[in-house]
Amino acid sequence: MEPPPLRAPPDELVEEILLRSPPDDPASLVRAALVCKRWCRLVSAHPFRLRFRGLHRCPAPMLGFLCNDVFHAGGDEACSARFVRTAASCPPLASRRGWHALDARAGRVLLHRAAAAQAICLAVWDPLAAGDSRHLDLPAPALPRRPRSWNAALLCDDDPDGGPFRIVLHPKDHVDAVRGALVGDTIYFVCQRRTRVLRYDLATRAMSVVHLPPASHNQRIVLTTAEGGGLGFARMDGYWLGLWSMDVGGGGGAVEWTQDRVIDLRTLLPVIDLLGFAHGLGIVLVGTVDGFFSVDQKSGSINKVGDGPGFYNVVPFVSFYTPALGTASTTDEEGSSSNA
Amino acid sequence: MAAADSCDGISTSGGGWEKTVTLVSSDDARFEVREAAASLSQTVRRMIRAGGDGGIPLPKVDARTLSTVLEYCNKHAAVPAPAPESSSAEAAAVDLEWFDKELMHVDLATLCSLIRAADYLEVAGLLDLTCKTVADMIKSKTAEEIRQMFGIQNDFTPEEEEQLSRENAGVFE
Repeated sequence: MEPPPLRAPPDELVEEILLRSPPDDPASLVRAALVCKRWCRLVSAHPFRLRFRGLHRCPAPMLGFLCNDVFHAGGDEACSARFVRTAASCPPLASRRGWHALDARAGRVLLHRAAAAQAICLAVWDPLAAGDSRHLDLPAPALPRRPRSWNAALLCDDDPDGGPFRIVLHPKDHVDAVRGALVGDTIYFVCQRRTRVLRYDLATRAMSVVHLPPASHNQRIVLTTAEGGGLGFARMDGYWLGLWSMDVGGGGGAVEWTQDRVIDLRTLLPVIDLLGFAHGLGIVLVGTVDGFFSVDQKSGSINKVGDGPGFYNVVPFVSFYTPALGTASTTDEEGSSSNA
Repeated sequence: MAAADSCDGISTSGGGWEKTVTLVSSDDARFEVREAAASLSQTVRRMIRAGGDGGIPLPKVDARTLSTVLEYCNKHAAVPAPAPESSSAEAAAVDLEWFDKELMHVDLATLCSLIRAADYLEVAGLLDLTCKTVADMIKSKTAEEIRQMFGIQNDFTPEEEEQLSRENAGVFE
């Protein structure tokens, strides 16, 4: 029989097709949006964004990570939050010169202006948003004095409309600048020298201290969500990646640490650095002379995710992406800013 | 009329007896199908419940497309539900995956007809399979290549195209 003549599908079926675009290949949706006005409207529309997230029930993919580079420009030390893409076709995002990435969640990045000597100067950056809603400077937090050290985390839901977010700022001497971890309803920040972790329970607002095992002291560690769902950490021990988890013992809140797993990274020699951990995906990032690799916490499988140099304390960028093209000219100029 | 009027029966190879229904395509071809398979289509399932004489008319699906849809339904309805962790369940899943892959080895025009049919007949699994196949076909194509595939006119003005590429550049510097 003769094949039927091609009849382009109607809009509602084009939507069904484009919804099934791979979430880890965001550029494919951008190209589809550039086909014609109908497709562009369809992909940029709010229902599409909602359905795209709903259909891809799996955790959002890691599109890349932010690497905090420090370099010397004219005698001054400057820094830049550089985006390194890891998704196959994620188009590169612009670096944020002068800013340092502290945390990222659901497609938004918490930045800190590194040069600000006096006040703590924070901003929330939505690299995939259109136009002016991309960068939002936050008011300086009111503190009696500027702490010698501090750290902050960004809390928000995965909401395609932006939606409200919260910042948890932890001004305390000896807190380390390495990225904190949100595990369940609790935020953890590492202390300098990696002997302790500060625990902040979001529900009860109670602060406490968790002692780390000697294996972590003065080592480079990254906080993880352990396989069991509690707090964990990863550290390199020679050529081995050790994954530890915390057990909250029965009485007295005593904490025990167990090394659950050791992953052999000798095939990756030489590993330069442990970079970070993508919560929700269970992926440890390591940097080698040959580029970046992801190590799956569960299976131990190793995959190359990118090229280039990378250093300790990167911030993985995990998000769905649907383009919002052509909306700049149609949306209200008054715009709605996010709530802080 | 009773629902049974559009239902006949055939004996199965195992000696059992299964209820069948007759589906009629837009070009008047008649297909006798096991009711269990036809019921993967929510549209057909509703029509079986409503009952009627002389088979179930499907005026939006031609014989060629309908026969592929029914191939899918027959295969997927035939799968028994063994214990989810047994090795036979795994083998059945692999077999089904292979079958689906083979079924999708068709040209774009046929795929588009199948998508329309799966949508009209409400065969969720087939709609997902066909849409995913087309999404995979276009994912690495440029906008112009996609236009050519579907015969779509580029209706952006040069100014609009420039604005879009500017916005795009803003996002993906």
